[in-house]
Amino acid sequence: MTKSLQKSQSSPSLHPTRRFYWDTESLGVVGLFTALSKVVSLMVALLGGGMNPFTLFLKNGIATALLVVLVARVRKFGTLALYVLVGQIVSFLIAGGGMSMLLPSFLVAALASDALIAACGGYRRIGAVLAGVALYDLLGRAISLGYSFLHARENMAMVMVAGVFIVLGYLGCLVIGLPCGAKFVKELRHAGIIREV
Amino acid sequence: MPALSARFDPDSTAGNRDVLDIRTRLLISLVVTSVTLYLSSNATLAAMSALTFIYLLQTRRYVVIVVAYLLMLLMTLLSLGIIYGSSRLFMMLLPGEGMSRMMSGVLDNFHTPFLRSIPSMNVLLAIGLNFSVQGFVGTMKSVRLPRFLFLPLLVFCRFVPEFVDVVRQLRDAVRMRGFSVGFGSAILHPFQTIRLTVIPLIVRTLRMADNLSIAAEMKRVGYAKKPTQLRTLRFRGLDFAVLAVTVLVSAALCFWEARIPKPKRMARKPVRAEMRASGTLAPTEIDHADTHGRDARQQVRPHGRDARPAHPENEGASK
Repeated sequence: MTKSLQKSQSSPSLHPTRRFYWDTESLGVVGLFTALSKVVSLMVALLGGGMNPFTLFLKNGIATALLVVLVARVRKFGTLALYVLVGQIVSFLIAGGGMSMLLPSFLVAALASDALIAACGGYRRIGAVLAGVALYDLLGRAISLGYSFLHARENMAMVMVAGVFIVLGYLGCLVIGLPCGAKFVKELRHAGIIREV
Repeated sequence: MPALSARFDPDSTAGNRDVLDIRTRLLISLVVTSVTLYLSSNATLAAMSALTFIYLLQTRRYVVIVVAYLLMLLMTLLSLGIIYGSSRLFMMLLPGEGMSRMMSGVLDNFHTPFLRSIPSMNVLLAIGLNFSVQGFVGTMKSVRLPRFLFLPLLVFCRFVPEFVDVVRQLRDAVRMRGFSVGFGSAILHPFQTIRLTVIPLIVRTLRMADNLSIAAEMKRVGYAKKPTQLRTLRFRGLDFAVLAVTVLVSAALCFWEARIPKPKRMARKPVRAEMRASGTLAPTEIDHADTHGRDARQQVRPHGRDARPAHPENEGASK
């Protein structure tokens, strides 16, 4: 009886002190922000039409601001990579298998951005977070442009127009996303929602 | 009177409505979208579109399919309008021969990218029309995703239905404060709109993350190495058959695509090679032909008594 009790207490599935690199709270935040980012982008795009320059600008800005908040909240190396993994699995379901072929390149972009944040002073510095997110957005857009070329390679003019819209989206990230993200983080820190541990 | 639990029948759950396993549908989506990216001729793309449409009809949701196609047509026309308008704008803002030459062909082959989207939409609709959260969670459990992927995806699935409620509450809260949020206010007062909508949304989301993580910890979600499953998913004979047909048809279409000659590329190369070999192309013109082959073909003419015609077809005409 005592033996079986000891065995059940030491079984790995019930061990109370089991530690993971990714705690449940961080994983929950990553999942929720991925969902929020996708849903808000979809809503804004549906409101203003797919290639409307204004909504494109706003959509990318909001997605970047949410990403800044996510990285500032979780503060772990690999947050962007995990965000990409979850986002690409969801994209596989929403947009079909074509997008999932971009996973390796997006993963490399996210890891490079994570490395940049770590090199610039870590996740506690808002400047480093902004630099990392800006780099991730830039690399992500370059990859998207490559995919656009593959998809519409018969008509280079169409790829060029898509390129201009991608540049416009990146401007939205820089002009709206990063400043708004920094301001959101400041307000959330002030409110105690992003904790200074 | 039967208890509520007596109504529960594992075979009638949403995940079991579909004749195919959801993993089969995901694999079909992966194969079709990858192959579609390779295909570029109208015939192969039309064949792929037709085959995937037959696959989609198996869902028997005809009204949804018609609505989806109408929406796609609308979005295609909208995109074409915006692309055409943008090209005209670029030509006005950046006048020049290069830009006008590039943009004058903006609507050439416009149908190919859109034709390429149809098979993707068909396979995606086939997944979407049979999708259920329960079935998706069951699939994630059955493929034994690691905890760091399983938990965020689970949270994702649970959040999306909640989001509608959150938006409704936010709209009511904004109205109570005397503001109105819409497309007009987003254009006129973008920062105020963001402050009124996005900040409360982030705060609510972060609180929801806290609650969900506490609930997941209490339930020990993601801790068990082999989670208990109510209904184990397994491939059946039909799944294997459909996957085999998909792979065979895709391979056949790729083979067909490889056999189709590319007329434009075939026509340009012999002309330049012939002109270089005959010496009818001056060095400066050779450089010009390398960069702007089409113009050089039109401008360069054979000169001198022994000059050979620039194109093999003209040889017969001169004799």
